[in-house]
Amino acid sequence: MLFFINFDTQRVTLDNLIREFIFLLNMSGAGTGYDLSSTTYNPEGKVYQVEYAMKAAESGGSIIGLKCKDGIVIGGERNVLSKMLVQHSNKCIFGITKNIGAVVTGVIPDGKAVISRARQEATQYAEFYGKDIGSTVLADRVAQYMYLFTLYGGLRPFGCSIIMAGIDDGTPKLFLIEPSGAYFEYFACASGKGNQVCKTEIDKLNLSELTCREAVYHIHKMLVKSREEGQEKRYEVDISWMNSETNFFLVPVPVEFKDEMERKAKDDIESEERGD
Amino acid sequence: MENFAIEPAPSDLSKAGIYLNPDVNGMGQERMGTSIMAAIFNGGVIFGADTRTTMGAYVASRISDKIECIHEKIFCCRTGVSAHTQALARYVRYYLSQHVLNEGKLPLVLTAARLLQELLYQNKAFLEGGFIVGGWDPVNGSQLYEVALGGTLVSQRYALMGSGSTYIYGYCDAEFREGMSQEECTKFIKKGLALAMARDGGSGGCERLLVVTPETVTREYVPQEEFPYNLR
Repeated sequence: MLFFINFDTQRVTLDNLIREFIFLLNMSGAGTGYDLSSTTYNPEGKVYQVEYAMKAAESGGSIIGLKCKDGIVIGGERNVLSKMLVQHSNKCIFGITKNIGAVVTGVIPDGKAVISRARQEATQYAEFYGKDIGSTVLADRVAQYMYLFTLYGGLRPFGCSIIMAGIDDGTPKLFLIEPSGAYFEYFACASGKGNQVCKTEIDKLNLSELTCREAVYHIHKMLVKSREEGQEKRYEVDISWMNSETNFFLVPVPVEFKDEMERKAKDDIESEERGD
Repeated sequence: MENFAIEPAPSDLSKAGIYLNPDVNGMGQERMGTSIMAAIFNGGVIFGADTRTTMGAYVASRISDKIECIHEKIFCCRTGVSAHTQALARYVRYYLSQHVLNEGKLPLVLTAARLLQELLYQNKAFLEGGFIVGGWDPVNGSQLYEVALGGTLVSQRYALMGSGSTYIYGYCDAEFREGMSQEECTKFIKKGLALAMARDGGSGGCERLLVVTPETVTREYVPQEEFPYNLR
């Protein structure tokens, strides 16, 4: 578009080309002043602070949510930053009510702030209306809260994406909430660094027939596949589920079963790579 | 409780020589010396109320309606200062309509009762009113709650309130049964209210009934001639 306008009305001189180059460079955002505040649009009509927040969210560990035949499973991975770190001290799955939980990626402290707000909303709701909040309503409220942080000059948007899972009157629900405040309900969703790989893997699954136990295996498989090749960072995987086995409470998957599925997933991927 | 420092507006009443003393609690305000009751039968809930509204000794209305709609299948009976209870019912109706828009499904009866309780409790220094809240919801079926003066919430099978209720506790204890038919329950309430109105000076006029079932809501009006009991 820009090119055409220049081509039609101006002669292509070195001077014009340089000007064009600088203009295009500026469109990337940095240094133009359009990205200093979330109250400023860029000429395309986007808010750069929100775009940056999305990027921050996409740079965290992969997280996955799967709605299964018999319940719902959420999982996520996070790098172990140091060998001195106590195991399981940096979780990415958080309980909100007894049957609503969330897994976060991106800037984890941002995620924690949102989770604590979600817990507050949930308890306030129960106190006020005399019944537990539904995950549909809670997802909406959390999304509104995150949206508010894209509106004010003194605030920055949350650098985290959140997959919220819950059971509303016996029906499993799954939501992905983004830093922009946009949220959608999914059968299955992924976010974080390896979300593309995860999504292509999810496409191969038959979700209407998948059981929670199978889903744990598939989540492990997706997480291993989505890690970059040759990267030997240590990492931990959190997986929690809600199904009839757990009385539809959000509960971490039993460790032995989780480890078994992890081993199986890794073995299968290895043998796939060897080509047998 | 503090008295309400409300000056009565110079009205036709004072011109007519009826003096309303604001220092005496309740005088100068429309209030309902009331007989209200409700009971659960095998297919839903029946509410009943008298129709008298008083200002002190003056009968301000002989045909008032003390059974109010909160939502499609949720209703309440009001007792106490008319202005207070009408305002409270209006607030709960408003909150509940917002709540329903958020949820996209029918509200719980308990939610309505809980909202009333919250309003009564938070403003207990200013409000004088009590409610019987009841109706039907898809989750918990037919229910009845008593929300009393300071914000007490009690779940009941049958509930009585208002000044007239004191005269008929014995009658209700003796006559109420679980799982009555609609006719039996209607009879039970009609007679209870008639007995209360016969003894209580604050209650009177006619009877209004309202039946809530999962499918329908029907009202009934009972004129004095048709009362099953009258003091003569």
